[in-house]
Amino acid sequence: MQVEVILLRKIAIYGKGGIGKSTTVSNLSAALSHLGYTVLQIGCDPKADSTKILSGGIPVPTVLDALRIKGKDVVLSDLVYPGYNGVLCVEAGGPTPGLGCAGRGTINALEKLDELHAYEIYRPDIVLYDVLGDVVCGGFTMPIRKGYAEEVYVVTSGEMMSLYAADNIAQAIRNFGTRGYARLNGLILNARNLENEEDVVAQAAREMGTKVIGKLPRSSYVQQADQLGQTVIEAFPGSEMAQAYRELAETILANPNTGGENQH
Amino acid sequence: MRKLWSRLSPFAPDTSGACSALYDLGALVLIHNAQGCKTNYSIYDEPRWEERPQALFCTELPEMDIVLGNERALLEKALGLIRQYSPSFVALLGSPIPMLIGTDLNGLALELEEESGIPVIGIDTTGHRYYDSGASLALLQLARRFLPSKPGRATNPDLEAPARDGASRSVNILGANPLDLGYPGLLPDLKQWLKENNYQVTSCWNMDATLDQLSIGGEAGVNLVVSWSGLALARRMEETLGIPYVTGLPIGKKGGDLLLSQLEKASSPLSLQQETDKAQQSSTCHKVLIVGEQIQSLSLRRCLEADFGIKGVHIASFFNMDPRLMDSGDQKLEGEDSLHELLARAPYSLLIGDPFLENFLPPQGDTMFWPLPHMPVSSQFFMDKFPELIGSKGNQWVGTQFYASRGDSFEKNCYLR
Repeated sequence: MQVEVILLRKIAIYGKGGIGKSTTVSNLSAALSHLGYTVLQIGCDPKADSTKILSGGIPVPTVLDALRIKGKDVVLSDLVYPGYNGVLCVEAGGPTPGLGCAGRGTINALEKLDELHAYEIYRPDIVLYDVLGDVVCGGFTMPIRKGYAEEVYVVTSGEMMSLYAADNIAQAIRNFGTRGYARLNGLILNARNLENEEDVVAQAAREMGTKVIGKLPRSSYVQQADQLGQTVIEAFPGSEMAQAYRELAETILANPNTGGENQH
Repeated sequence: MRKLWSRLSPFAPDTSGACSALYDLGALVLIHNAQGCKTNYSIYDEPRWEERPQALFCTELPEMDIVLGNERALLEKALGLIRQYSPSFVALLGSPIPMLIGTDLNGLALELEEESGIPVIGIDTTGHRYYDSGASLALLQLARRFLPSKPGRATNPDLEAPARDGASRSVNILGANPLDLGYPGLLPDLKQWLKENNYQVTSCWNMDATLDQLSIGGEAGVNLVVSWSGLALARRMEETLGIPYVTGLPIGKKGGDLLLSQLEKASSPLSLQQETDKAQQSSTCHKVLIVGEQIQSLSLRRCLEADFGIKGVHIASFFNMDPRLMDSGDQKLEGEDSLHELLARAPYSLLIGDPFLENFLPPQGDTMFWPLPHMPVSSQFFMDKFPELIGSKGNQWVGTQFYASRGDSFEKNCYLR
């Protein structure tokens, strides 16, 4: 399906921890790369595992680790790693567990990419920010501030905790309406096959002032691919699950970019 | 131990630099920080405060507001101060606390502007950088908000650039602040020197200027960058307004002449770099070390070379240094250890820098020391001793220093060569 897309798209994807957000984002990146786009995926979770299935199951070094080791001498090649099908992988990283500040770490990582002109040098068509769903402090809203993502999608299931996290994010976006933040463009249902799950999530979306833009069925291929250290797109390209990711990618591309101003 | 400061007191932070760059513009400056005094920004690092205090306040965040992310308190405080002081605009500055909790100062600025109806700019100072970074940020934000871009020049490459002939002798001074130039310091003499050479100052960013003057900065034919804090603004104005820039201060008679020729050619700073490289190539002598702000130090080096034939002068700085303006012997200092190592590694005949730096020289050593006060290092301790350096006054200063150091004139004593 031919779609018209406005370059450069900058998309933040949030979701409750464990909801399948990073798996979804990585498969989206893979699908978009096969459509010919240069994709930059930035993991904004201290666990630094967003891009693992794009890099053969081996986590890439994080921005904060690079800053810790090389300080001011850090260069872009220390931070950006080519993964599956040319998807550019970045992991913000985080502090030592139990110490420091993860939110501030996310800010520092994104600012370092800015400082090193990552966007101008790599010239991605699409940037995907994979962000911790529990926006527990200012740092985790950094990816949706002016100059970063212009549109937000939230991965959720019908489980109350994931819907609660989705609603939190929707509230944060509403609260900062005058700050030029990104716009909530929809929910992505990552099905758990709960009873009436689709209706529950659709209703929640309406209450948040948005809609469900895609549904990902529950599939054993996801776990199998994960164990191979690969996306479903790579490991099982002919599967229905891979097709679901491709359709989601095309839906997002076709979805109007109605977010804030693009500063990059 | 790296970054342990035992001989020097803490340098002026980025907040002080930003406050300095916002002075006299009729702004309400609100520093978003925890409870504590603001004397650093308003007195120690600001010589103009006694004459004319500004509307500068701290938000004095209580602990629970920080923990809970209560930004409404800041907005209410700001709105109250706006009603009281009727500023021309508001500047929200950061500090370590909002930095750590990821406060979106630019976002808050948008909200406050919408509620108050007056311009508000956010400046991401953190307290973890030095004054020059803060001043640079403040100048950029002032330009983004108050300096109209010229679509014709910035976005239409087919339009001819304005003629850069003798008729376009209008100049902006970028990076002027008392922290680097002293107060009143070098600025009056600099303006006089420009006038004597038929240049009219369009705007001076930002010292002794008004917001209206800054807003017409786009009309100038060339920018003169007099400290590192003005470099980013110069590059932005070159990119968006097509205004070329030159870096340096006219220190010394011949040093000033060289700068004048650059102004007249309206060349890029690379020409200064080429001149510096040329000097280094013709000399094997490493005798003089200047420790200070990079552009002022470069200008003094040019004076020593052009007016006195002293070559092989190295520059080091604790503050920001632009790599494009560095000579092969120049060095960025990370802390006191770096300066100790540098002085031990290369025995210099002469060290020029803030009076506090004399502590780094052994008491009975052979290295001469010429004091050149720098406020970010020594606050206002030596401000009454800030020398006159513009034009031939720079030559006089060098001669005086020579005599004070060795009891003899420069001409009779050529041991530095």
